[in-house]
Amino acid sequence: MRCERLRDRIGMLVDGELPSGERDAVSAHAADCPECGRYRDDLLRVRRHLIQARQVAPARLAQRLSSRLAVEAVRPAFGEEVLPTRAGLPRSAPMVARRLAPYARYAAVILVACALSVAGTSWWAQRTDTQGRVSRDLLSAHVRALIQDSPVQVASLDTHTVKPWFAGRLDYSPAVKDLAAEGFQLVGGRLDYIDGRRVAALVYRRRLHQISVFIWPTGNGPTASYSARVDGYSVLGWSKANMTYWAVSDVGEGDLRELEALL
Amino acid sequence: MQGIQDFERLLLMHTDAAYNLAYWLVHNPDDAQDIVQDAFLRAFRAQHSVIADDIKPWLLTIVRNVAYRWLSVQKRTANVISFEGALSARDDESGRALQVPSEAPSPEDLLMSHADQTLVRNALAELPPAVREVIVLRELEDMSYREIAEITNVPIGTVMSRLARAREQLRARLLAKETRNAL
Repeated sequence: MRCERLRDRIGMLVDGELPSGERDAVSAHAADCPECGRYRDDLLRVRRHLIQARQVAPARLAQRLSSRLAVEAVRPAFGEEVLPTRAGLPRSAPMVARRLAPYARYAAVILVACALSVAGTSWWAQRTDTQGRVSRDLLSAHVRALIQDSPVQVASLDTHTVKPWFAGRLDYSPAVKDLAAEGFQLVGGRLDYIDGRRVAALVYRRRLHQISVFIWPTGNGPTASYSARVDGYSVLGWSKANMTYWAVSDVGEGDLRELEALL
Repeated sequence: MQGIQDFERLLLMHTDAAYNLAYWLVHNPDDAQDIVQDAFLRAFRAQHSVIADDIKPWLLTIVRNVAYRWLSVQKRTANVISFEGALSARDDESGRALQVPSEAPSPEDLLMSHADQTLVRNALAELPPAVREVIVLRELEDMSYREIAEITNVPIGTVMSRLARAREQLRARLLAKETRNAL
């Protein structure tokens, strides 16, 4: 009868969940008592059986996951997910709440302070968020172009093949310059889709690196120049003659600055 | 944006664990894969909310949530209850009916034989889902009581009683058969 009550303990022993104070006593008992010893062995045998039922993920799942996650990594950030946090609320919440009641007033003050600071931060974040989102879009477009066979829809023979190509495809005319003499060879142009609008994208080659330059009329772009490094790529934005320019590449920011001065 | 690849690698380390849990919740290899993919994407997007160093319990919580949502959306709750039916039907389809060895096998054979595997899988499948997930997390994923309590969102006491229940049932099913075969 005593043994029946010990079964929970033997389960915990087998699971390594018994407090150290009890461990020796319970294992000593299992060694002495045939019934409890058998029960312990049974649990271990069940465990050996169960391990065979473990399912191993098919190899193609791992491939699918890593390629899916790679796409996700260059995607613009998603909305917040409602997810479990590691630290759950204690089950005895009402009791805890009663004990904490005296602190409620302080908590309220802190909460209001937090709310104000959150509001302030989010107002600020929203401003920077737009640029963050745009740089994500730009980077995705640039990387996508690298992945494809050809990064351009119209190849450059000279600037006069690229600029007319945009006419009729866009409601504005981007400045297209051939900068081969300065070390930026014009590869061509394509249409892209950034921050919810069609934009002109020019592709330049600098040594072995490819540079995408996105151009659209100013309105939602930076008036002051903006630079960032995202996932190892340089992103540089500026405005000139009522046009917003964004350059994305794996070259250093210095090269992009040089291009900025030329365009 | 540094550390994206680190986090990706961290996630991929637990692919088997995630797949195993999803499989035992929905009992279908294709659906389990979809669930794992969905869960990994959610985990990836929410990587900033991870507090602990060991992400496995956190990831399995997400897998479990996605699996349960999937089950309720698919309205296949009936299938889950008649889990055993789905299992034997699958075995019939692939022509792998439960085979009982004609000669008395050695203990090693007993552990490794296909019949034995089928037996274990059937025994697991027969457990009620709430009990099954606890034993799967404990015995197949080596989660602690506290971690299982967090993942399944029940008190530790409930984890322990479900574990005891699962073991009682599995002991009767698996070990009774083992001794019968050995005789």
